[in-house]
Amino acid sequence: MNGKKAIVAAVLLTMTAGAHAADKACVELKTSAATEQEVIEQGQKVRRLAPAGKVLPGDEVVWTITATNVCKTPTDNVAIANPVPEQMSYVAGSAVGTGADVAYSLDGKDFKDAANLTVRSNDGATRAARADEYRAIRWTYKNSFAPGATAFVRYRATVK
Amino acid sequence: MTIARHVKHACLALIALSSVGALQSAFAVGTPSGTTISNQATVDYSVGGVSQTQITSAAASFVVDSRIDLTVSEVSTNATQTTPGQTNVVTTFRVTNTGNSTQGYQLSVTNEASGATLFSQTDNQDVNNRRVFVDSNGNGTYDAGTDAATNIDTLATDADGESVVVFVVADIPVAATNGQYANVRLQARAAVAGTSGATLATPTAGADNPAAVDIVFADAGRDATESAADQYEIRSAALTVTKNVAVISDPFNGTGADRKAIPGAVIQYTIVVTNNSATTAANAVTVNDNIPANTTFVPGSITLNAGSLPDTNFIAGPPARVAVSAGAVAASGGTATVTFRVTIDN
Repeated sequence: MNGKKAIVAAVLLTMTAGAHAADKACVELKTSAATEQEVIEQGQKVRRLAPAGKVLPGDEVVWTITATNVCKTPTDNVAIANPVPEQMSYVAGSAVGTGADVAYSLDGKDFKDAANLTVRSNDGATRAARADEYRAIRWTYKNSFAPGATAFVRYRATVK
Repeated sequence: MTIARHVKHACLALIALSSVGALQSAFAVGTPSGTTISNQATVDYSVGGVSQTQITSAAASFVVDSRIDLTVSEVSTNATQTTPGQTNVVTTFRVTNTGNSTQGYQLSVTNEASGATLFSQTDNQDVNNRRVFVDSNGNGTYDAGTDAATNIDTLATDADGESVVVFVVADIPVAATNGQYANVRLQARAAVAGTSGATLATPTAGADNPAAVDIVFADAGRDATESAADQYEIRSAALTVTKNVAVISDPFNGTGADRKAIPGAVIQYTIVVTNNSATTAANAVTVNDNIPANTTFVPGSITLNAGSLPDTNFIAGPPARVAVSAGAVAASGGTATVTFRVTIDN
């Protein structure tokens, strides 16, 4: 029995060491802000995402987060989280991420499906939380990221 | 984007209806310009079943630009009543900074063209010597000399509950008549804060500098200019005067039915002043009437509204005359009646 435990411990130590050996982080994370801007392309007015330009209260900003596995081993249980900036309101239904389950939080800690987020008002009644009350968003991946794989997630928020 | 924004505004309107007005106001102003909005994502993951240290992305950020917007509103919601020839008559406006930057404003006032309607009343008169003053001491009342600034130097955003009262001060032409209306329009143009309205704001052209505060005109006309009208209602008494004469007695027939206007007869003059204005009383009405030639005033005969008046109201002259201070004559057909008697000279 004692020998078995020792072996397990040894394996764990090895793996942890291995991860450290990969030289710090295995996932590279980038965040960027963009706005939809009208540009002329081949004589046609089209809307394109461009790095956040003139941004006024009420304007919508698209936040994009990319996560890349920069290690030679797969990464598992990847969960990207992003607080909605304090001066912004999340736009309902705008969070997307291929292959990810999206959950929301009203306090930045406790994440739930949109359907299960409720707010208790002063009179004790509960109501569904409004999108502008979401304070954080989390994308959870069921599948592991192969080495070199990149995932990107995106959501929209308006400037208060 | 345009459509999306319209939909969004519709939603905001619903929220405002179902909750408090303050919410709408807060949305109208928004995040102050110059605010840096920064965002950092985190990722948790594991390798080979072992949780790894959480990774935080570099911050992505942008600066909230300046949205210039304003409202100019008329305060009283009805016309300012005035009289012909009245000077320094005040109408009151309010300028509110609904943008997200502290701003100055250049102010100007014009007469509206004839035919412009306000409060269901149509402009058909102009006022003179129009001036604009800012309510510098913030008491809501025009204080000549104290409220001297003619432009708004600095006005914080409505988020801070800031707005400023502006007075238009004008003189009413003497020739204006009862029932006329004179509309004035106050215009405010956004200016650089702290320039006493001298330097107008200009929108930033070209591509955005994400690190700088650019200026966008967001008012209805996209010209950083808004205006509102107010109205002077000219009210004047509309007096008419009638004079009747009656023979009271003659030396031969006395007060009998056959009395005639012969020398020695007593004649009574009745002067009736009527105010036909529907709204405005006439004050300090005086009735003057010269004693006709070949007649002589009868002492003690002056009456005002059937009450005796002393003979101090008779002036020997020349010209010999009756001068009665009748006081106020009420609107809507109020009258003042003066009588006096003379005898026809022998």
